[in-house]
Amino acid sequence: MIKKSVIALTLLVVCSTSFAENTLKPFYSGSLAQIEKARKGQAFVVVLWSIDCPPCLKELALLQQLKDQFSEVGLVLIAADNAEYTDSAQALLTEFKLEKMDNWIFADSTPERLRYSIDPAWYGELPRAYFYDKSHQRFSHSGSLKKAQLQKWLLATQ
Amino acid sequence: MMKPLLNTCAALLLVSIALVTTAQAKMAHGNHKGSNKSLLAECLKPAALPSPNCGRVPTAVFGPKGKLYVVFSQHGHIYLTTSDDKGKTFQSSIVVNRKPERIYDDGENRPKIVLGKSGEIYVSWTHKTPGRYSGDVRFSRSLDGGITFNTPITVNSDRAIISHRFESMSLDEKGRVYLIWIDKRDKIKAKENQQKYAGVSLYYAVSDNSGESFRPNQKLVDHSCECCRIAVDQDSAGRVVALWRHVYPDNIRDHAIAYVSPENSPIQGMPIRATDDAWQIDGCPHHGPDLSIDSENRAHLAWFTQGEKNKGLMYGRFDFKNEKTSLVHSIDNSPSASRPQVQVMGDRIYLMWKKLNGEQIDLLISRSSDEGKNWSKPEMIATTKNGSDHPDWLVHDDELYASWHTQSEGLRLISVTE
Repeated sequence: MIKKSVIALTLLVVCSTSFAENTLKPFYSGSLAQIEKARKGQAFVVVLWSIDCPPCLKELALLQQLKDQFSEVGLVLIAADNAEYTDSAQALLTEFKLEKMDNWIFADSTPERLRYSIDPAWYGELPRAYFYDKSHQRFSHSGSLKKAQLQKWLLATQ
Repeated sequence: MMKPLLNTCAALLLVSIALVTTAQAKMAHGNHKGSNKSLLAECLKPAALPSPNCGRVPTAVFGPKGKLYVVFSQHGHIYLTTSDDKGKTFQSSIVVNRKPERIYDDGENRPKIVLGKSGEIYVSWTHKTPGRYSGDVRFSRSLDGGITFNTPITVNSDRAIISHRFESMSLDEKGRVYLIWIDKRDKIKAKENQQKYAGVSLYYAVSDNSGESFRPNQKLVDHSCECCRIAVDQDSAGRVVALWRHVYPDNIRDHAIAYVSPENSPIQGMPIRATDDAWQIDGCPHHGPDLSIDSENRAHLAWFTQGEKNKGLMYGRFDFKNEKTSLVHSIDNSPSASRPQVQVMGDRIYLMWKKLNGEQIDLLISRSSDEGKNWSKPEMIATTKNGSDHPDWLVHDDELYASWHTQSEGLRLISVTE
């Protein structure tokens, strides 16, 4: 009986975990505040990308290379695609083995609202990264990140 | 032992799916987040017929006697419909591609429609092929006023599963049909030879038999940006001009302009750099320019940049005579302003763009009556609370309309002529 319960419990964990891996969280206007709150006192990077942005793939490939150097909460990925493209975004994340990261996808028919909620000064170009220090002072970067640049930040903060 | 395990897993999964589906359903009906589907009551009915209001990215053009022709994408089809009352009501839609296919239909990628002088209806779009960022340029025509369409043809001769996308269409003075698109074949070739190749290339094809067939594909240019629509217009003599975001050395993504040759040889001295903002980015603006040529063959340009020299939405006037862009000025440098469109109407020039205003998106215009030197204060001509497509200009004789498709309102025509 106990054995059965253990098996059932394990199953529950395994099944629900594997299911959770296939879920990009919907990103709303308040989502960044939530992401920041969950990382109080910790440094992290937010990377915005899109399925329809060839340079973003380079970004995903670089993140795949360096993902083990991030702390558990050190990397947040937000797909700036409409949520109806969740399947395509998920497929790419899985391909680049980034599906276990903290993944989000834009969920607002008016993406301008979400862009504004992230950064009123961002024009929407991709890829776009925000580097947060421990006190959550942040700086931004537009276009692909360089490996050395990211490594330097990782060494200094993670 | 395995079977019950699998069953349990499946059951759990089903419960999860049910939960997620409910959540998604709530999402769709509750706050309309994350979907571009129409919110009009007529479109929510299961038996809703294809229409420009319910479909995606409707693109319109006025024909003789003010008849409006609209193409749009819905359920894997491109449809054509017409309206005799400037878009208030539409005739039943006619399918252009009988066999459904995956279609790029997201604003920067939309079907195109051009009308020939003898009533020909030319329609193009990009078919999404299985690979990533890949697509084929598709074309179909009707010679009977839109009653029937030819079986669509693929215009790009390179059939690799790579990008042949963002097509634009124009006619010239002889009624020849031009299709110009972004093509990745040279980048792939360079990669195979282990050579670097910035951006991708532009290819085009010309039909001189009313779209029955196209002559061999020609290269227009190397090193264009890979994900921005191409603007096209005719000059006063009816020659075709294209404007696109180019990749200049060091990844500077400013714009280039060129006449497109109907012959099988490129035009000397083309392309010419048309904007100089020094926007260096290894990224994807996904934000193409717009172009309108006046009677003196000056090209009025509207574009988006985030360069060292200029930021936001810009206007400028390019003159082929001295190959210079003058009167460069900021239309709107707000980060939430997008999709600038420009249109010459006689001695007036109009600009139009979208901008976030709190929770809503406004459609703004500005006018110049002195050839682009001075501009009126932005004026809001429409607004919407939900998703919105790129705006576009529609010209009927001396009347100018903005066409704008929004989730909540459907396709609207807004008169802007004073």
